[in-house]
Amino acid sequence: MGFNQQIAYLWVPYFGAAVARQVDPALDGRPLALIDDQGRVLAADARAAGAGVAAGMAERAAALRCPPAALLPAARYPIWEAQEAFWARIKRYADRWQPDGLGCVYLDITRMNGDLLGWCQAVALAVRELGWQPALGTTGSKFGASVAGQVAGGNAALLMMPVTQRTFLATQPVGTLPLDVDALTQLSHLGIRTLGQFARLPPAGVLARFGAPGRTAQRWAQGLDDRPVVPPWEAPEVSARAEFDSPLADRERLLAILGRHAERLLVPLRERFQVISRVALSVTRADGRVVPAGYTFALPAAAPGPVRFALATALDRVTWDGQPASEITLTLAGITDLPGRQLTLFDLNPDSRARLQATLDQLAARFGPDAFRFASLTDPDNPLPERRVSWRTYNV
Amino acid sequence: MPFRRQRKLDSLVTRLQAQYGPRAIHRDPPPRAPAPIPHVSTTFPALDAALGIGGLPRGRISEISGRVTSGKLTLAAKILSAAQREPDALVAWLDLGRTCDPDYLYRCGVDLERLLVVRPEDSADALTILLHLVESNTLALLVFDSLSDLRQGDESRLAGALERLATIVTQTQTAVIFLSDPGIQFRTLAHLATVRLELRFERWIELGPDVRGYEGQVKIVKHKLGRAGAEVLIRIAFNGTVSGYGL
Repeated sequence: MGFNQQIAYLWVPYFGAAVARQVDPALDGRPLALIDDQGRVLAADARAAGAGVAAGMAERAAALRCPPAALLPAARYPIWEAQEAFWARIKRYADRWQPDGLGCVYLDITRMNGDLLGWCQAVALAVRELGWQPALGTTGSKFGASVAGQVAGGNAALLMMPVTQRTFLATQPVGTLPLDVDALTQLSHLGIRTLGQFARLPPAGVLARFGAPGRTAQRWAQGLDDRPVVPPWEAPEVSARAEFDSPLADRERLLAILGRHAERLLVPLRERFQVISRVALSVTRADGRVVPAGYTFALPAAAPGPVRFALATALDRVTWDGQPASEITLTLAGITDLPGRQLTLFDLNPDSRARLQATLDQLAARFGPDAFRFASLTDPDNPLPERRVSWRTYNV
Repeated sequence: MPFRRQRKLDSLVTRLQAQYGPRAIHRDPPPRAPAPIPHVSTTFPALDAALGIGGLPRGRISEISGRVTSGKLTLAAKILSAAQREPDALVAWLDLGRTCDPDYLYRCGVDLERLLVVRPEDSADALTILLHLVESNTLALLVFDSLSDLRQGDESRLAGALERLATIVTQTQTAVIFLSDPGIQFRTLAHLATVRLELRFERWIELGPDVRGYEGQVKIVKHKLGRAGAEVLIRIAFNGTVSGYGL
């Protein structure tokens, strides 16, 4: 292999659908696809995926491919919060970890000493405690680990740990490579079905026909993937704690206290043009139990309105069981710089625009912002008309 | 008029006005040229000419009806693009049928940055949103697509909304266009619409084996501000963009 590393690929198959079903068990028994705010598929379950529904597909296309599927808005379910919980639980099991899409992470276990099988079982147990069924693959490279993990998940197995990476990869389909559709079609026409066949092709020929990406893919197929696991950059956070002499149960009072603390934390952030991505609460109940809850913003914000909404939502997500709160820790996480806004080329009449905005604010509050949309042409050359445009909903 | 007779007449008028008030007798102001009616061009010169006022009137309700593939959506899209010729004009597409294709509207010349697409949950929401948007008087044009997507039994709701709309829209500069199917008649709309156009597919325009566009016949079924009954042939060409005859 030449690279002295050991990588594990851990993923929860159909993570988005698993989270939705965990929240709403009534979704069992029907194919399921979750639609993002752009009208595209964010996640699908096994049955919908089997019918051809894939992430990134337009809602209409998904409905055509799998008519019995329930197409539900992803915003209804705490997918991002679940992903954060997944990461928080997993990252302690490895020196370095790297997220790779919804419910998928690479774990660097090169320096791990001891029983690998026992480690895998411990990781799987940690994920199962969150309510999901994981799958794991371990080899000496990221690509090999991801293929092994997919093989394990596809066979409803926990672990795929090939003895020899190159031999294992040689039998896998060439479609596991991250090549574009044209390149995969060409390989199919050339009769190249497996990674082993692709790995044996002359490198110069691969470079000439498929360019640098093709040559890189061939190196991966040969087990020569030296990409390291790169931990994500963790944004700073600030927190405040409120202790109550007598336990509090009144939601409005709790919300007012949290609002005051949040405002105090936000003032210096606003002065530095910074925004937050997530609000996290850790509530210590009168019975001594600590209950976490949170809210992740679709777009980072620091304005009072969105933060108040986030606090209220997070507070409503706390499991109270009739117990009042004796202490609350508020954390404003994911602090980043405020991104610049895209300026429009069309300077609209301010009066008319302000009036329209006021009208749309009222209508969006009543009928939902999803009903009011603007389209932009993002991929004008795409052969599928529905993929040429992307939608953005009206922001109140 | 001779000078002496003119002077006697002026003197008489002055006396009468002094005795009975200035409004008892007065001269009519000199006739002026009629003020142009605010309108949005259809982008088809022949149709604009047939309508007499240069296009579809603003501050009024219009109806474009036609069967599927008759070209009513294309005509509406071209009128949207014409409404956006004013620098700050905003337009809206009320997409009840959820069939709005921004890519096609773009190819018809519509500026998507100034197009609000409304996708209401049902026809009741659609009619409420329609009234509010028109009342805001911020839109140059609003297209309701389409009446054939209204639910069964919504006729009375539509009639009520249209009566209110007819009152509101005259206070605004918004042209409201309803797209409909000739198979479904809405009597209230037929009564309240200022202009009603009916489209009929005529023939494909072919060049060798290729279809390069089509011709449609537009009939002005009703026109409260001009002459009705005229029929105009419009040609719509496919060439990457969608262009109308004479553009």
